[in-house]
Amino acid sequence: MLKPTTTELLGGVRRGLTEDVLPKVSDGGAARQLRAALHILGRLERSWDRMPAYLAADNDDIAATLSIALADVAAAAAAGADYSDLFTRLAKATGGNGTDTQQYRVHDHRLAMEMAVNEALQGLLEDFDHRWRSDQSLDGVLREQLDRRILELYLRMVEREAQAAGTDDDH
Amino acid sequence: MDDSEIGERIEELLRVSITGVRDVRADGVERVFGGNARRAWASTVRWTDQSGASRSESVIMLSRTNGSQVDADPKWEFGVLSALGHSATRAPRAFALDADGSVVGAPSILLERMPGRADPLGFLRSEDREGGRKLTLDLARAAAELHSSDWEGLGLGDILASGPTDRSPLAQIESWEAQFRTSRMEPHPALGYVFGWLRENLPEPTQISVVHGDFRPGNFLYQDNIVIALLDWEMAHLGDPVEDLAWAYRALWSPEGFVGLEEFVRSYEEFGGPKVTQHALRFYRVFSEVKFATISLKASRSFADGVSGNLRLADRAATVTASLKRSLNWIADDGKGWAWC
Repeated sequence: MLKPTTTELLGGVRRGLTEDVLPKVSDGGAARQLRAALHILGRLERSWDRMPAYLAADNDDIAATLSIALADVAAAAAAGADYSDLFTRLAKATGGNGTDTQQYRVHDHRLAMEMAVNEALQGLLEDFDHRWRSDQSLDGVLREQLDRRILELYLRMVEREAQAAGTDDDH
Repeated sequence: MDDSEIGERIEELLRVSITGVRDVRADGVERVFGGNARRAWASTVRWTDQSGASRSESVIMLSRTNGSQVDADPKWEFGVLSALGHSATRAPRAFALDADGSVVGAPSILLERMPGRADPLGFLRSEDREGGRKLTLDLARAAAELHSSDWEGLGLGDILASGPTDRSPLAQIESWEAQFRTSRMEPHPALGYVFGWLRENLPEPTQISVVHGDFRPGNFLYQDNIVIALLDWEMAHLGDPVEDLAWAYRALWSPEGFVGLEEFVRSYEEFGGPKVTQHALRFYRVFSEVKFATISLKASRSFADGVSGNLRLADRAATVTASLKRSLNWIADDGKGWAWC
């Protein structure tokens, strides 16, 4: 345990800059830059510790929804429509195989892995959503089910993201 | 570009732009706020014109900065304002253009500086309910004036048309989606989905008009609860005028506290604006959210890539979620009683 905590430090820095520094900045451009930095500090103060749990939940939800949807589509698709590459990508993404975690520049390996998995799953979801919508062999009932299922997933994703980013009250 | 040289640059820009001009002098040059994408200077300029008459104008020069989050060309803005100078639209006169920045140091335009203030919070947080209501309804009238202007007669077809005007909603989606795909730093599949929804729900424009493209509080000057002039024409294009109405009522800057969207639209129609359908309004409210989200992604990308050092752009990607929440909920609602909210 390290005290003051990260939240306390971020809050203290933000308050100090707001109360002691900002009033003394007379240049308009510099004051705008400082206010923007304070806004970002405030958001980080509200949200910095939510990222690991958010990513884990998001990854579980996307992977589970994709597994079901892919299975439904593969079972119903005409012989010419092949979704096997998407199954392979799903297995690879959730297994974390071949992911470059260095790019995220975080020290915690598990967090870096969750980030890599999330990015891979987002890409897979985008490709799947585009693929099934173009697949004219799927019948209307299944298309309606898929549309609703994917839309509900997107709604859950943005709700989670808003909470994780500390922007759930933003416009 | 050194602030101390700006007066000389303004003088030179007028000399090369206005035929026969002489004795040009720019006084009282001061830096003013020009938004995230531009720097601005105000000045009083005097000159003698070709006929020997003395002129004195209060002007503002707007110069583009690196890392702008909107695709814009000062040539468009200059062309639009020059043409609208011959219409009833409330817009500043345009005096000069430095399209390539060869005179000023960055692409710039020199415009008439008009009275009034643009402060959006002063308007939106005003406790003068009646004044706010009067100003909002005048904004509806200003929109109707713009959208009913004869853009072909004004010669704006040549300046603004980048393709067949009957595809304008689709052309807008294609343009913004292309910008989304080149700016994103992660896939954002939900945003891709909303672009897809827009493609499948294209409205048929009632008419093609000059669309301001950034029609909202903060982008017009007002005084005594009257709209003096619409500003920032960088995103002007030919298209469906409903786009401007939906954009004006985005939650971040909506004047709905004074006038609800339904009354705003009805007033706009009574002032001579084209008929607005529920379908088009719903479409453009969703479109406004993805447009804002895309601008935000471009802003964050610009900061992350080191193109801009503007800290206001740094965390703009965090605002994408709120735009997505709104548009996904409107789509999920399937048109049941959402349009005026």
